[in-house]
Amino acid sequence: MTFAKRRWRNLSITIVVMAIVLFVHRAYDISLHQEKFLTGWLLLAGVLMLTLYNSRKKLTMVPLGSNATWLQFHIYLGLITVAIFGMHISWHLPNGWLEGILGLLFALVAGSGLVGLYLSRRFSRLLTRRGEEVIFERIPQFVVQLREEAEAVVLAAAAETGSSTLADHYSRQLADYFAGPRNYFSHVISSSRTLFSQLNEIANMERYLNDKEREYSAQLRDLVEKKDELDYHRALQLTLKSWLFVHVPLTYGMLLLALVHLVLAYAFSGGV
Amino acid sequence: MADRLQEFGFRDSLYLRPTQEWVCGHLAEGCPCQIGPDSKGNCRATFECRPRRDGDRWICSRSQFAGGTCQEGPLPDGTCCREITKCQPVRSWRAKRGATAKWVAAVTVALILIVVAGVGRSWFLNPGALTTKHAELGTCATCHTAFDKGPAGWLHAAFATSATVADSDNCMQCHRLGDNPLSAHGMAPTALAELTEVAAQAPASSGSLVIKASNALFPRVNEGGAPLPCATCHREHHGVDWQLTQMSNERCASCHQSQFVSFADGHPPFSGYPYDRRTRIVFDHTSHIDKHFKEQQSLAKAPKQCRDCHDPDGSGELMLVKPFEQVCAACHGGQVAGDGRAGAKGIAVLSAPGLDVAGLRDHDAAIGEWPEFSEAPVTSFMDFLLAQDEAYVSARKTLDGVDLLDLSDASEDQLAAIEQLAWSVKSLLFELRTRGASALQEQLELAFGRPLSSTELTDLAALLPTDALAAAQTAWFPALLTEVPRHRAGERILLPGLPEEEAAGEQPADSAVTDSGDGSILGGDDSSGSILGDSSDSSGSILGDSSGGSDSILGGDSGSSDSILGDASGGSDSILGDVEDKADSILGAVADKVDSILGGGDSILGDSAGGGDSILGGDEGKDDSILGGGLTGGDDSDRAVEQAELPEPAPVEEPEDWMAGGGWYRDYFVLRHRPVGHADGFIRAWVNHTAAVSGDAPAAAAIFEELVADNAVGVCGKCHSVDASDGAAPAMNWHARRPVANTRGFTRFSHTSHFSLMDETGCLNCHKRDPAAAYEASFKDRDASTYTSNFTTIDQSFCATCHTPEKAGDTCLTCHNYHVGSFPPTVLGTQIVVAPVPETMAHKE
Repeated sequence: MTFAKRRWRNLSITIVVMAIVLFVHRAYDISLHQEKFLTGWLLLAGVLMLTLYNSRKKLTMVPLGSNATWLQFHIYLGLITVAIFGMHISWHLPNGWLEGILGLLFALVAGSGLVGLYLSRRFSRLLTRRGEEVIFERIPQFVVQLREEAEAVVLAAAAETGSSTLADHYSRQLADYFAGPRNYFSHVISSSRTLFSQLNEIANMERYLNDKEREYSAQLRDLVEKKDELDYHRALQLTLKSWLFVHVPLTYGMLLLALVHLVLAYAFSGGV
Repeated sequence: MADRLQEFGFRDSLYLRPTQEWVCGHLAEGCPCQIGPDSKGNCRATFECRPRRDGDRWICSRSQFAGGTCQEGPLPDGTCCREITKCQPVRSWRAKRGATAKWVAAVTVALILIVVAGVGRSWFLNPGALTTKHAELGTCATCHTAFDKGPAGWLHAAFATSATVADSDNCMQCHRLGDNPLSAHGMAPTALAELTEVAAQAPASSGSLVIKASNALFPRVNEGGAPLPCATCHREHHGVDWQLTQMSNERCASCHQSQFVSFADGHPPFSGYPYDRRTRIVFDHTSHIDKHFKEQQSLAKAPKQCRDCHDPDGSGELMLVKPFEQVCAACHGGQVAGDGRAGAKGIAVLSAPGLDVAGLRDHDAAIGEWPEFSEAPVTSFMDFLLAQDEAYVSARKTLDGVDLLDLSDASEDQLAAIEQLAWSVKSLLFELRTRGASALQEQLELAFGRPLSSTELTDLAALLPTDALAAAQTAWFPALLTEVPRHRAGERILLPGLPEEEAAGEQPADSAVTDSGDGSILGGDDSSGSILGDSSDSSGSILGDSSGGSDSILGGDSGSSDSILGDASGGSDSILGDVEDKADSILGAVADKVDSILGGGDSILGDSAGGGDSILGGDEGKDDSILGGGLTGGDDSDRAVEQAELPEPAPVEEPEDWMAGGGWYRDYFVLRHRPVGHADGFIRAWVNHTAAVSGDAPAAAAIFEELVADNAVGVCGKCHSVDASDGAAPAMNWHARRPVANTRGFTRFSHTSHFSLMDETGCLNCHKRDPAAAYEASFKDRDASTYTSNFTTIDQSFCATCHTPEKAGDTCLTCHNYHVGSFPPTVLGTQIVVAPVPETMAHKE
């Protein structure tokens, strides 16, 4: 099954489920039962099921279906939950502080999920297009590796040519660049302006280099490009990991407040 | 430079576990150790390898990934020569995320605990602003019973069923919704079941799919008679402008048997609307408009437009009928007052019932004196007042069907019953005469079985004057005041015999000169109420009194007092004379008296004994008196001659005519009350009071029926219908329909809202006349629901032309109320507290 077909199938199922929930919600409402209890329970159940995805990822040894299947389920159930949330609050902003905070947490969790969905679709594609795929945790090693290589190139050039032009340029323009990950935001927005600037500086310097130095300069330029690709991968992977710092922790805070909300809703429901 | 930064393979790269919580602190420096930290974040790094012993040599065991065997090799003691610098392990990205989640959870719990335990929990937990009307209710506990019980109480309330009604009870503190506030429509379950049964006969449902699904999927909220808490429909905390009473059409329809899509699509047709019961005032529009209003004598008085008779009420909902005086009196006022009435114009209240006196005399009936010529029946009022007298009731049963005016063949039992009846009637009058209003009140309260207020008593007695009662008693039973005590003392008092010579001259009772008659002009032996005097045992005579009487005008023999013209003995304060032992009389004294104006003997106006030549008569054996004396005083006076010589008396107004404005009058042997016109208080009071007890008191029912009959005095029943549905006590409708304060029915309609829509057809747009309708037939029974209107039922489709969602709206609540019944407004139970005066102030005072 192609990605598009899977998406259409899942979207269709989601729309049908939403329509059913909407119909049942309306039927429940006109039967004079408290539809907010219905949507509340559906919402709680939906959020708990979504939370299970995180647990599933920790239980890799248990055959509970593929992660891809779980992710699909997580995404589309999340969309359904957003719709149920809308019904639960009657498409109005909550008024009270507790309900307001709860609603805000849900919005942040749901919003971060949607952002994550977008990022996982876009950034993963970008990551395959440019540079070498690296494991995020190993990037610091590679940064060090590139820095050492760049320093080795500069030292070799100075020793062989007796000129400090390349070394001076490195210490003045590139030492900080190779010291660690750089230009996060430029990479997140896929801007190559910083790379162009660095390469432009090297090109300007080459007018003052002899042929031997130009060979080392070429090696240094390759390392600059390599570092930029590494920074690019780090920036995108870091972003892909960062949205979960909103999505997952706030889910637990939201669940706790939801339990309080549940008790209060029943305690002060007026007997309905 | 390597083409690729990252190589995969056990010799080229470390195996990284994404789930591990800690990573080597040297990772950021690009040289992580291979062993890594333990699960608790402790650095485990020591040396790059653990040399192995091979014989007496130590051999480096560093992995190929770390660079393979080192050139230096292990130290002589077998330790690795390359020691790894200790690091501070750092959390992995995943572990950092987990820690963040724990922190968020902890902060959330802390926030909840702080807020719930703190004073600001109301503020924090409040789910939203209340509507304006509830904004000043006070604390949360005002409505939510469990709020002050704290978190433990909230948990209990969340899962306990006892809270179902508790919060709604709080609502009822202000919203009084009748006896069944938490049942559907506030109706009793039985009444609701009856409506449901009726609705079940309606055409098949045509409700929308969602309503059908709702009924199929979910049980009714009031399944099994479960209460419907207020919050079922009224949901608060949605802001100050929230419409608490909003209700969707589907919600209404989901409970109803007959379901439909909209007012224009499937709404049941109106059944008799708006004529769900007959009119309270019997008014045939057809006969009036098509017949009476066209008559020549009515043309000027007849209304020209609907509004001449109808006005909207303050709310604009009801079209009221204008007052009788404005719309009916012009033609029917005289009819109510009795103009042209064939019979008596007053209601017979008390009577001296007609009995066969001659027959009773033959049977030696012991009923005392009784008017010879009365033919009056026992009035229903007397039956009612005597209904507590078991002997009387028994006598009435015995005499049921007996012609009281022909008792010649009466049996012993019937004669005994006659005697009982006679003495009961006399006792009633005796009590009224001797004890006055208190006796009447006592009798009425006994009859009605409950205490009566002074206002009620006033209405029921219609200010019966003592003079009217006294005059009636004097005329009917002159010796009543002595007979009844004697009867009660056990004395058998026979009907007085009739002297032959006087029997021949019997005249009608009111002016009779029988020896036992009453109201005679010239006196009699034992009579009372005569004009010219009595010889004994009488009272109330005008011209004299022999003995035992009182209050005579012209004198009395003995034991009297307060006579005007004389006093035989023992009297006092007479104006015109005094027999003995008296002084200060104006016109004379008989003996031993001085200072009389006209002397002792030969007095002009009176002489008690030994006198002669008196003008107005003497006591006994006297001649030459003009107007006669006592027992033999008539011998020398020829009454016929004397009367013939009197000038023709001027005609006097008949009592009934005199009372044209209403009031009490005596009609021979009946004491009547003539209504004061429309809305007579006496009739109204008796109709209302007897209706209330008519089910238990046949005598009361008889009065009620007598008063509400079409041809009754006052002709109330001609226009005011009587309702007595379902065996309930009958009730006369004194008014046309009026708005009942704080009472709401299922349907509401504002007339005034529709006025601007009317064309020249006006009211007839909706109220189309039906000349063929048998309106009058509606009132043959007393069931208000049997009704044929003068107007055709309003067509529901006519309303639906405007009442659509796009135009005038078609929600159920546009025309219907949910809460039906009587809902009195809550009145504050303000305690009137008198502040105590401070002691210091009290001392000063």
